[in-house]
Amino acid sequence: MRNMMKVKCTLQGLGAEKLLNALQKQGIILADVERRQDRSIVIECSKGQYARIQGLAREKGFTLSDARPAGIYRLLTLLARRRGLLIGMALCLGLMIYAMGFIWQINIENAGAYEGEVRLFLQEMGIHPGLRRADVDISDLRERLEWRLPKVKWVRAEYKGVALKIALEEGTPPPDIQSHRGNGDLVAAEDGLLLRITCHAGTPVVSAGDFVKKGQVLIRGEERGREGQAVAVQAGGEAIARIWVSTGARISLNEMLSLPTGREEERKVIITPFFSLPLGKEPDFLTWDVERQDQHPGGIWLPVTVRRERYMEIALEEGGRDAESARQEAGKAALRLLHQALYHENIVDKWLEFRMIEGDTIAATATAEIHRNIAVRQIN
Amino acid sequence: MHGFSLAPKEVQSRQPRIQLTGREEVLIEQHTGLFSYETRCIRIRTRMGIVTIKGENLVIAFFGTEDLLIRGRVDQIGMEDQAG
Repeated sequence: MRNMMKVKCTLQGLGAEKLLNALQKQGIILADVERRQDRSIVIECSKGQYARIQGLAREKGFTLSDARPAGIYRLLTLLARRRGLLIGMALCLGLMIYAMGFIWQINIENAGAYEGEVRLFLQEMGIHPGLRRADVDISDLRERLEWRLPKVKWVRAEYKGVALKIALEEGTPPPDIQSHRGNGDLVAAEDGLLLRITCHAGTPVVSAGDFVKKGQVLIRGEERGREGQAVAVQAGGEAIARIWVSTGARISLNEMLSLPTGREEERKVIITPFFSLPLGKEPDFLTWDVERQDQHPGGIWLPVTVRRERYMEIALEEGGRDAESARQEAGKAALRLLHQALYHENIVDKWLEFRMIEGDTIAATATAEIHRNIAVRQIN
Repeated sequence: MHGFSLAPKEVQSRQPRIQLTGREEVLIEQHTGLFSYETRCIRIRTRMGIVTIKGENLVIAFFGTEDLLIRGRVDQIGMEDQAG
């Protein structure tokens, strides 16, 4: 310590070499002897020898001035003068050591599509920046994560400085991570009023109570990294929405009635595999109904058929229909179609609506309310 | 009978030993004092005469009882007969 206490001083006078030689003879060791422009010489010596140098210099008519501490001794002198600085530095050091006992950053590495899941897990475990290291059992954390993510081969959890680092090694390749503009988003499969939205990964861009249209992005496949940058992930979650499904049926109030006039004609036609031979001409009725009766005179041995045709003249007339029965029939048809469309769904509510179209058609619309998850992965 | 010593010859005869490292450092062992000192020329007394070192920005980095270390840009080293 004594050797570290160095003093630097300036020697002035003619023939300074004589004094230097005298000091050398006395066994005084000098360092960094440097000639200055003003003919003075700056020397460095130990503090213990400074008094002897000063005595010799005075004896030989030299002036020794500007003595000041040098090297580490200078630093120690400086610190001794500034006790506040010393205390501040000690306090700062103490605070740094104290702060190192906390988690200030959480880094999730190589998690791929599971990054959102890991963050959710940490949130559930109450692990966040600012927590004391002593409050986190890191081996327990690792084991729990391995149970939570069975497809992950192993999990590494460790401290890197003031950061908690969680690294995953995946045993099964995760789903491809797409761009946050592409397949990573969850979009609405159909129109609906959102009842609740649960997000496992990604960033929800809608909230409960919003009416969403088909194709609208519900959960965007991106998350904010620890430095605020966008990280593409595969969005995960579900969006339960109120959906209304409608089916319709139409019944006309007008029906066409065919009334026989009483005029009838008959004819026979012989039919073979090669030709047909009518035995008589067709009747000259405007409209008719026909009855046909086949006979096989040769049995299975002769492929000849004798067809007996009976023509009955009819007159077509329009007739009115009972409106109430038509309404009921339309309603039943609409409901039947609705149940066919929602065979596996749990119908929360349903109702029927009727309206008259063009004055002679009853249209029935059956509408059902169902609650289901409408979030689907966007496929480009 | 003369005693036998393992000490090097220059130590036994108190002859100076000059060691130059690159062009930046000269170590002179067994000197007897400083003759003159300027930043461009340092002259050192030895038993064999005066050692002259010429150069630029010459500084005596160590000035001990037997050793003297000079640092700076060394251009020339020479010997002169003992003056006076």
